[in-house]
Amino acid sequence: MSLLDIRGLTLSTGGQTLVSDVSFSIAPGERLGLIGESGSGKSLTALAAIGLLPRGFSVQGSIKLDGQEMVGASENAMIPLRGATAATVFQEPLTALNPLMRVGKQVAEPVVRRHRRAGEAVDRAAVAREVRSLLERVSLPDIDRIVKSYPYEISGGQRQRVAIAMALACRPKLLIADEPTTALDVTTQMEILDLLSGLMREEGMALLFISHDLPVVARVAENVVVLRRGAVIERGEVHAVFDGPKHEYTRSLVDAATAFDKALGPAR
Amino acid sequence: MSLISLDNVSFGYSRKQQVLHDVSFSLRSGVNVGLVGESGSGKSTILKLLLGLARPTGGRIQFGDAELNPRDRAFMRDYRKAVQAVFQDPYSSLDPRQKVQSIIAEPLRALRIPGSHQEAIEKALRDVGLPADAIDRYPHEFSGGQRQRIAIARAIVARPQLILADEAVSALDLSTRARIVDLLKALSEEMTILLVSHDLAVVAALCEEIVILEKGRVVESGKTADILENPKHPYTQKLLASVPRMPA
Repeated sequence: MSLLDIRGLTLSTGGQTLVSDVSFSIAPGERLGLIGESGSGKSLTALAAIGLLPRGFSVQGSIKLDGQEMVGASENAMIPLRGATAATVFQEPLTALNPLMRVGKQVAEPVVRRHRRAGEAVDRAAVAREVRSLLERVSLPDIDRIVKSYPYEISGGQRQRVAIAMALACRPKLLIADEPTTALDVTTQMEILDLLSGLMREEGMALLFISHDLPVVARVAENVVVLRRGAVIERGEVHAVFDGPKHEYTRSLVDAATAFDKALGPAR
Repeated sequence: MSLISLDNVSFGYSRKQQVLHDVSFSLRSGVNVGLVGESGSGKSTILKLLLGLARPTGGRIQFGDAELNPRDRAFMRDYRKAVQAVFQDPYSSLDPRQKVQSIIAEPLRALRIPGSHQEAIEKALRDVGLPADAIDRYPHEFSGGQRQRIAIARAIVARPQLILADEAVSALDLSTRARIVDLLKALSEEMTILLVSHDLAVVAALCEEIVILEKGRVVESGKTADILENPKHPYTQKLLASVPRMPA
């Protein structure tokens, strides 16, 4: 059974249809890249998947997250799915993290919540140990300092690692990453991509990776869905789509990415 | 002959906080240069100095046969005729309450350029591939790529010798980015471009020479093709190895 199964999803607001008839699914452990440029509806689709659309959207179609219908579900029905089934890492960790809360305390929140949901006693020392092991898991250095730091006191790459650690704390079956490296430097981007790929393999998590950057998607995803103006125009295995794009628009994206790639000379 | 040269330029907000150390490179007419570095490398600070928005705390910036002096108003007017800028985000670099006509005319007015402003504006619009009727519209009526074309039209309208482009394509979608790089390439027939960017692929596509910055120091500089083929400094090697590549 699919972990996430989106069928005929149509999202509209203010008389405009922003996403029309989008269907795709993600199997447990699958890594799917959602490719699109600005305005393609890729982020809206991801928000809809976890029931976080802004007010005023009308939703048609069906979104099944771990078998449960999200379209028309009550807030109370969706809350238990967030985190446990799907956790999200957003583009800008500076706005995703609470600026007034130390890193250690922020990472502890999802840890505590997970234990409470499971009906387990929450022991402060055990939570602190788990927070440290999560921060180690995302390869953060100098953890003693980081747990006591506020988000502004650490670098952008470190903040994104903290955001990933918080998502991992939920032990989700599916990780949704919306442009998680776009705001980062190239050397940091590579480290975060390698970290994500490694975590996916080791934890067996599924990944929905949203990006406009083709080579970045190729590095983490097995399959891709290409969106344009709210509609799916192409899908398939990542190498197959990049080697022989069928839709003209996909081809223009692949050509542009290939031209920039060629300018760099042969890959080492 | 060099258009602008930086000789041992240093800059710091205080003695403890030095942002640039002994930066030297020069821009020659007709040779596009890419200034590459990650956040904190000092690339934006160099741009600030080149725009005359701050003064070096050490060393000098030479423009032609004079030293760049932001306090000399007459000099700065000549300098701005020769050196114009395009910024990263066309959503914040264009005044939302001015029509395109008035946005593009601004340098002509401010620099008191003689001749027909209307003709200059029309030519700039043609050069950047925007329709002539764009002048009566406001920035919000245009897409991101078109707005960046408006910003480029404003930069070229006074026919400068040098364009300082600060991450000028970084905020654009891939297909738009490719088209704006093509536009800048075409414009560099006429003028020289200094492209400040973290994106090596864009720099490789547009610039013949490259200057690599790390923590306020130039670690490597030279011909783009040579550096891409045989990067010498470990930081350049790391930077190149980090660029995600298309699958073969």
